[in-house]
Amino acid sequence: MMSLRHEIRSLSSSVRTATDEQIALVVATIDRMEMRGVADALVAPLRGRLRALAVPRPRQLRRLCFEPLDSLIVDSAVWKRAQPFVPRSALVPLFEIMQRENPELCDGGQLLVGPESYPSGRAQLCAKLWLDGARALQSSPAPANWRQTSGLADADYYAIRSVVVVILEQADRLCRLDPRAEERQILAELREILTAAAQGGALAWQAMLVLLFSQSDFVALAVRLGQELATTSALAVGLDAAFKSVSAVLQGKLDLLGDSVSVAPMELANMVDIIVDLEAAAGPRSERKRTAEVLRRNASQLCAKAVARVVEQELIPALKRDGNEPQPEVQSIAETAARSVRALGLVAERLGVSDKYDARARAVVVHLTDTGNCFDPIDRARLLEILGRGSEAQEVLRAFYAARALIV
Amino acid sequence: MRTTLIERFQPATFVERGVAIPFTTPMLSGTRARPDDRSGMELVVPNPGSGQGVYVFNWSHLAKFCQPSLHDLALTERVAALRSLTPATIRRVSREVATEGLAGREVALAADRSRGDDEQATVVTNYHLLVRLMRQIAANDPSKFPAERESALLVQRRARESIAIIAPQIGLLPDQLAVNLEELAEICLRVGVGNAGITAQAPLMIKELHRFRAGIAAWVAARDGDRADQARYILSEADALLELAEPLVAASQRRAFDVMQLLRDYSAAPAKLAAEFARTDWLLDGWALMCARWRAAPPDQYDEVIEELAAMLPPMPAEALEWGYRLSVGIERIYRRHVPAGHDWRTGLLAFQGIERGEQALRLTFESAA
Repeated sequence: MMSLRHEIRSLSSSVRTATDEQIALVVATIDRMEMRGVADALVAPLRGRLRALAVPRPRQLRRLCFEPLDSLIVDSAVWKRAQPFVPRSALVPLFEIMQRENPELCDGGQLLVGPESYPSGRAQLCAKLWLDGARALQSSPAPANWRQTSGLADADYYAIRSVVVVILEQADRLCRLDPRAEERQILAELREILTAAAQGGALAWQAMLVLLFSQSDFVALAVRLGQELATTSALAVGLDAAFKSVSAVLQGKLDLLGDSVSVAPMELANMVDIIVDLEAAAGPRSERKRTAEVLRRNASQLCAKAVARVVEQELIPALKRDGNEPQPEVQSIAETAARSVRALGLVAERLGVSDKYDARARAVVVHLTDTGNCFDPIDRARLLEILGRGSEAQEVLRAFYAARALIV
Repeated sequence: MRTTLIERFQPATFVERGVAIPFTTPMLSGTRARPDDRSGMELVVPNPGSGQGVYVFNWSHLAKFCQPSLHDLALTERVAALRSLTPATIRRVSREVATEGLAGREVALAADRSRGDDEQATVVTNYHLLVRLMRQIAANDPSKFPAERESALLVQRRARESIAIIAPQIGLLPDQLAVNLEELAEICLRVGVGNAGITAQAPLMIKELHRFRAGIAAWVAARDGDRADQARYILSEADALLELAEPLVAASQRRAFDVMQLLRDYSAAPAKLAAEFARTDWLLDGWALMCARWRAAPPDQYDEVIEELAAMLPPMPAEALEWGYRLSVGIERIYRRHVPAGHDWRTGLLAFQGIERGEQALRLTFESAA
């Protein structure tokens, strides 16, 4: 008989290759369970995809409290000491301290997660929640049950606390960062955030850099400012370490996307933005440059693979359907696939590998010029246009209008 | 001293301002078409960088200016073939092009539905005009008032009788008067007659403008910065427009109440009456698309949409001052646009997504018209 651990492992591996809809279903089922226990292990391999899929999760005060740290939270099994991340197993005891030291925290917080959630003034309530949480942790020694609940050593508590406190203290500022604001305004905000992080210790500085490097809107400015503010050797080492950590995170995400059956073009586009900015900011530091180049290469491969998959498995099969099938449904499937292909093509362009995309797009054009499928000329012209083949689309349209004029 | 090399586009008349063309290409957002002596039609495109001034060029050069969508190319060709450029003719052509499916099947479906509804609305307006005319003729004899629910045959008989009575008074043959009534129905369609005074396009547009105004006002309430200033400018323009458009629509509806006088005026000077009723159409031209852009946007895109709307804002021609338009004072228009660094915002992923947003807005304009 298969042991529970084996069963979970086997389930986890099948969940890893599940479709988006299946994932949403699994997560919703687990979220409804009162006692999640080992079922949580099923969600673990999916966490990377959950954000991209925007699967609605139940509102929990604990989740809200640690929301600003989201991209720093890692599975406890992969967490390592002296790295700027927070193991998931630490969240429960940390939250207990925040609640114990600050009972009114719950009252305000419950407003945000209750049935009438997202009331007006949410931003102010969140800001208070995070700041009070940071203060509560700041003055608390390691709790007696720390080892038991988190599975970590007491020394780890202080290292993790230094990261959590700084991020929560700056959380409101981080939330208010507006990518559309003027550059000097963003720089001023980032300077204050990073200066505060530098004062919080080497690990907090690293963590803040990782957090900012993970946001495509701010990575370029954060690297620039990080270099400027890294005036001591400890901070410079921290900057290098942050660069490495982010690269590892990005590589992990690329691996995850590579394993999954579908690649969300916008998620990949976002990652590519970060990679391109990191590479541009790598400057003369050859190690950073090399790391960024490897990431770019891997992203390019993933992009090419994703384009090939959507074209071969979604778009061309839709185009090969015969004229007896209901047109609106098939056109809708084909249009969605064509949009994904085009979006991936634009990502490929940003990566400088659009030739691979062009080759695939040419194969689609051949199918679209075949009049034996269920698409009328307007639909075919539109699909060509979505794929970025404007001149071919116009040709199809011109031929159609010319034929129509003859009939008239 | 500050020198401005590019001047703000300030047309004298509505014709010079041009008619808004519902293009889906982001670079062409806010584009207007106006007649040109030499080529028939020229396009007036707001500065794509959202600076001051506009680009004015012959319609046939559109593909040199940017890469327009198939829908926009087809629409431009059809618009260029029009003899008269008015908001009504552009609406008709836009619907024809959209129905073909070049902006997607959903847009085609919405356009097709709105055509059917418009045809029905014309018939209803014609009926209301006729009933109103019959009531006017029978004013001294309440027994001859058409009942609320009469059989179609009885209404037709009464209508024929009424037309036979009124036609000689206006100096027309009964058949000609019937034709005139049908044409009047087309003219009054937008402002609405009788019960249609609430559901006609102009009053609905006023309602939509109030919603648009309230939405932006709520968004801007707790904000500052460039975009908030742009939003406040949009609000002030919407207020000024509503201040003029609301009484204008009400006056047109009152005017349509006296059908006998309307028929007399139409027989004497049909173009003049048509122009009088078309005022609201010219005044509100372009705002339906702006409202739809706002409505189609998810809240996290409001910042971008505000910039788009600020660029689309139609300049109010001097002619509107004669109609009672008051200029916005105290709020300065900001000509600025934020683009993400390192991104090709004109042809890249952002532009690609922009076309999709443009199509959604187009669909909403047809749905609002339905």
